[in-house]
This record gives sequence, structure tokens and C-alpha cells, in this order.
Amino acid sequence: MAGIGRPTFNLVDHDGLAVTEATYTGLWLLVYFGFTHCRVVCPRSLSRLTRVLDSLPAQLSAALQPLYISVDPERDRPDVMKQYLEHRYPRFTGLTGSPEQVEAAKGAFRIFAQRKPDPDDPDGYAVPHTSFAYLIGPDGCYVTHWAETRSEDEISSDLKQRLVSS
Amino acid sequence: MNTLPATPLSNTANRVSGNCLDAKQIGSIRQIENIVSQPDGEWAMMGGRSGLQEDFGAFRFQLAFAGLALALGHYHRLPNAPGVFKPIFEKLIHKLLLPGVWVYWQYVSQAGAPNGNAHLWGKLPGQWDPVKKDNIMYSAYLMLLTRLYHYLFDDDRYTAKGALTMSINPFTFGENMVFEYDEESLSETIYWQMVENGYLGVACEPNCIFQVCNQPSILAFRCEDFIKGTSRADEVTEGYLKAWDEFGLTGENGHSIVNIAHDSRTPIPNALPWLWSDAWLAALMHAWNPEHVRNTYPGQLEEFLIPGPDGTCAIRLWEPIDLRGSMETIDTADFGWAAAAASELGDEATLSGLLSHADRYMNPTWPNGGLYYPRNDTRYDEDGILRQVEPITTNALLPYARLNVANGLREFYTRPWTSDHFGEPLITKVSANVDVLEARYDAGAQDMRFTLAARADGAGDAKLRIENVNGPRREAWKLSLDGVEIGSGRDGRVLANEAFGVVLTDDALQLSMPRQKIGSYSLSWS
Repeated sequence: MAGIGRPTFNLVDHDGLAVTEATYTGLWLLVYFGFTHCRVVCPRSLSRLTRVLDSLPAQLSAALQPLYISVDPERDRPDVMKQYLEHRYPRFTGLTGSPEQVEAAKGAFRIFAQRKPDPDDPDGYAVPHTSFAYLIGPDGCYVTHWAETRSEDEISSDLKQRLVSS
Repeated sequence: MNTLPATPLSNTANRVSGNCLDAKQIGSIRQIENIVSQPDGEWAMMGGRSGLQEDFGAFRFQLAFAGLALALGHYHRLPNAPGVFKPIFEKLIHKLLLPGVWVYWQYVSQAGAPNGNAHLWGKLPGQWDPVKKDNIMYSAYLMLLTRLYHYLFDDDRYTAKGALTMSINPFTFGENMVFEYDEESLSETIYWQMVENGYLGVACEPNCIFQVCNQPSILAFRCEDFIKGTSRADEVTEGYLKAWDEFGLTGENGHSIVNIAHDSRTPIPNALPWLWSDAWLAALMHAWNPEHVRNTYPGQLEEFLIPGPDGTCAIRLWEPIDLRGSMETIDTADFGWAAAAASELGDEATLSGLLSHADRYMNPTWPNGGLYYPRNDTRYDEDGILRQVEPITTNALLPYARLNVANGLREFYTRPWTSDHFGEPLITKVSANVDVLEARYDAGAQDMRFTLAARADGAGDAKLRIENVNGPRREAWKLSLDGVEIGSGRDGRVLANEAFGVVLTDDALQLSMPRQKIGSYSLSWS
């Protein structure tokens, strides 16, 4: 099995609606895990991915659903995620859930995320996490992922090529 | 006391020039060839003290580091003679897949080690599949040898489905178990465990993530990047440094952290300390993190070096430790690892001192043309001279030290061969009665020099196959022995001295040389 196979999840979107991978069948998914209190990695990655998405022709963009899945479900309730994303990264839909649901989603995508003390955080902790952008195909199967080491141009070019050739 | 090695079973000593391998380097390659040419299940000259495949007496470590030694020898010293190394590599990989190499995982996967998983003993069922989870102390080495093979020999045979199959069908227990992998699935299995662990690494024993055994994974990912044009090694090393920043790569005593107990995120320092752990890490990590290694390793080594007479030096071994009420030592090959690290860091004084010590005090012999320092369990003799030799020292680490060059792994990591290299004239087959001392193509001069030496224990004509004879700007060629032209060719026609067999087939020259005509050749084009 290459990559992560066919990842599944059972979460709640930032409007409070229950969603699974089946909710998005037929769409490409661009999936990124993070948490709204993240001060560096998430803003950098979400900004970068937003620019990549902005560069897509409308027809391709319409076939792609960007998702931002929280690794900090205790703080990232749906309304918190909605407020965070709508103002800064409106292309993304936020997903969260119970700690168990989030844990299952992390496992499906083989994400690392672990809570650790952070004196600079108002609540005293941060959740360092894998900063991959996953591309999931319309059939729900893993296609590829881009690590943070990949440049914006590389991601943009690769993404367009994959969407166009489908 | 031995003063000098016995005479090698080869006339290499008469052929040595600036670019030629010397007798001990040839003997090092031959020793590796000898151990992997034994029948399956025969591990002569490879048995370590514990027999449990859990220390550096383990066959997997000997096979893997012998392979890395050959890779460095090929890359730096005989770049145009893949035919010397490829058959040995195939045997190394074959051996690495044998059940005697990996069934240890069935008991090691149950935990109980004092350095990070003693609390799990009795809670984990034994596992048979040696690759699926953890056990990076096996899987990384299998990945490394197969990726090296693919890259160095431009041969993707291990990408075929099931090309890396481990199986066991025992007579007296269990069932027929088959674990099928290939280069890609093996790499994916390791990579995603690294991702899940936040790039801290993959565990060896359950819950124990060692720095050392994750280094071969990084080297293998680098080879994968060379092959596929990806950047997985950069991703992993960047993540590795961030992940280890929580603990530091070195402990308060200045020695490298040995491993992390993953569940409690507890760093296990090199408290004793052990040189093998520091030296092993230094030798390999220098490939991608040279500044750190150069800042830390020389100071670590200082505590262990013992100066000897006539420029020799030795290593202070660690004292037996209390393991569950019993004083124990295991094969850790501190001496061998110090030599390997010295070769990589270009520490010529230490390298030559250690090699001189080995030649003087470790009873070198030449079975079947291989340079072999017999296993010796005596730590020090009555004069306090270090005498201990572990099999991996003679079978892999001293060959590594002799075949490597200063910054050799670093250069290997940063300056990959391009497609140009694989289009150069290459010696792709070598008969078993001859050693290749030199094989290097000078693209500017359009000249390939290769020097051969008849093996004293061989007989008959030497046979060689040289591929890529025709190429860009390579049309008319001539073959010379010690400066005297013995053959030439153009447009598929061959003119040759009748004492030599020279046949051009497609793009390959097949040479047959009488034993008395084995020497220093030049194949040049105009």
C-alpha cells in the first residue's frame, strides 16, 4: 500500500455539521492538520496553501475542497475554527470533533501531534504537529502529500498537473 | 606479537600506484566477498559472542556495514568498476533476507530491555514480520543496501513486487510465514513511521528510538532521492533536528544521546560512556550534519584514545556492566567504530594509529585472499595491549575505514553520480581469478585506466567486460598494456594482438587476458 491508502474520518465541520470522508466524495481534498493557536507553522502553511489555491483556474479550484483538521479539539470547537478561518483563510473548511474522533483522524493520516508545555501560549501549551498538505483524490484515496520543505511553486505546479491530468 | 600482516594471496603489492588500491584494501574487499560467498546458513568468521543477534555480533550489522564500505570503495576508489561490487552486493542482500538474520525480532519485539522498554516486558506479543513496525535496526539496513544497489548500479531489480521477501517455513514450530516487500513498500513503511513519530525516528526495540539506527534510513532516503529526484532526506533531516531539539543531540556529559524512551519521552544518555555509540553516530551523521559532528566527536574520542608505540593507538574499552545481577559485555566494536569515524573525519593520525595497532596486535591473516583479523575475546593482554576483535571489526569496519576517504560519506551524500557516470565506460564483469586495483575514466582525456592483479589462488585467463565502449566523442579506441598498444577498434571492427581475446559485442568489449599479461591497462578513444 502506497502512502496512507484511503483515510477515513468522522468529524464535525466549522458549521457544526457531522462530516465523514464520504461527505466529499467526488471532490479532490487538500487536507492540512493544525491548531488555531499555532503561532508559526499553521499561519505560514495556510498562507502558502491559500496562495497556491488562488493560483488555480476557477474550474480546477471548484473541484478541490481544502480542509483544515484540528489537532487541538479541546480548544478548537467549530465556532472557534470558523472564526479563525473565515477571517484569514476562507478557502478552508475547518473540521474538529471529540478528542477520540480527532485521534482517529490523526491515525488515518498517520499524523504526529503531541501536546507539550508552551509558556508563551495563554493556555500554557502548544501542539507541535506534522505539517503536510495531503492531496486526496475524488475516490477518497491518497494521491500525494507535500512536506513543508517543498516550495510554493513546486506544490502549485504539482497540484495543477495532477488536477488537470485527472 | 605480530608485526606485519602475512603475505597476501595476490600480487597486488607489485602493482600499487597512486590511484591503485593497496593490498590491504583489496584484501578488505576480498574478505567481504569471502563471507558472503559461503553457503546459506554458514556464518564462518561472523559469529559474535552473544549469538542472540542483538549486538554488533549480529549478522545484519556486519552485512550492512560491509555493504556501505563497498559502496564507499566503489564511489571513491573504483568508480568505473561496478562489476567488482555488484555481485557482492547481491549476495549481501540475499544474506540479509535469510531468517537467521531477522528471526531475533520475534523475541526482541516483546521488549524487556533496560534502556527504555523494560516496563513493557510481558505486555507485547512477539512479532515475526521484521519490517512492519519498529525494528529499524533491521529494516533501515535492508533499505540502505537495496537503495545503494539501485543507485550505484542503476539497477531497479528490487523494485519488483516481492523482490524483498522474508520467509520462514520451520519444521518444528509455527507455520509458513512470508513477508513480501520491495524497495518502494519498504521505504514507505519506514517513512510513515518516521512521520508518525514526528521525525524523531523509528524505534529499534519497541519504544526505544536510537539516533544511530535512524542514520542508515537517512542515507537510504538520500539514495532514493538520487534515484527518483525527490527530497525526502532533506525533509526527514530537517524534521529530525526539530524533533531532537526537545532533547538535544548530546547530553550534559558531552556524549551523544543514545536513545529516547518514546512513551515517556525520556532521553537515555550515553552515561558510561560508550565510544561505540558516539563513533557510530559520528561516522554516519557526518554525511548530513558535519558541523555538529566536528564540534562534538573529537572531544568525545579524546576520553578513549590510548597512545601506543610507533604511532599506534588503541581504544579504552568499557567495563562490564551489571545486567540484571550479572556482569556482562557484548560486541560493540568500539575499536572498529573509532577507525570508521576517523576515516570519515579525516583524522589521519588516529586512523593510521588504529590500523597499525590492528596489523601489529590483532593477528592479521589472509584466508582465501581476504584480510582477516580473527575474533579474539581477550580484552587486553598481560601487557595491557588491546587484543579484542569482534567479527564486525574485521568484516566491515576496518574495511570501511580502509576503503573510505576523508569526508567520504559526506561527499557521497552531497555529490551524487549523474547519468553521465552511467554512460562512461564501465567494467561490469570481472572473472573471479583477478583483482581490480584501479578503474577510473578521465572524460577530458577520454581514457580509462584499469589495473588488474592476478589472484594467487586463481588460475586461467582473466576475463573482463567493459560496457559503454561507444559513446559521445568515443569512436576509435585503442587498448594498451603498460604503454604498449595491444588492440584497437573502430566502427565495430577489432584489431588485436593474438595473445589477447578482444571481442566487441554491441557496445561492450569482452577481454580475455593471459595470466602473465595481467597488468595496468589503458583504454583510450580518439
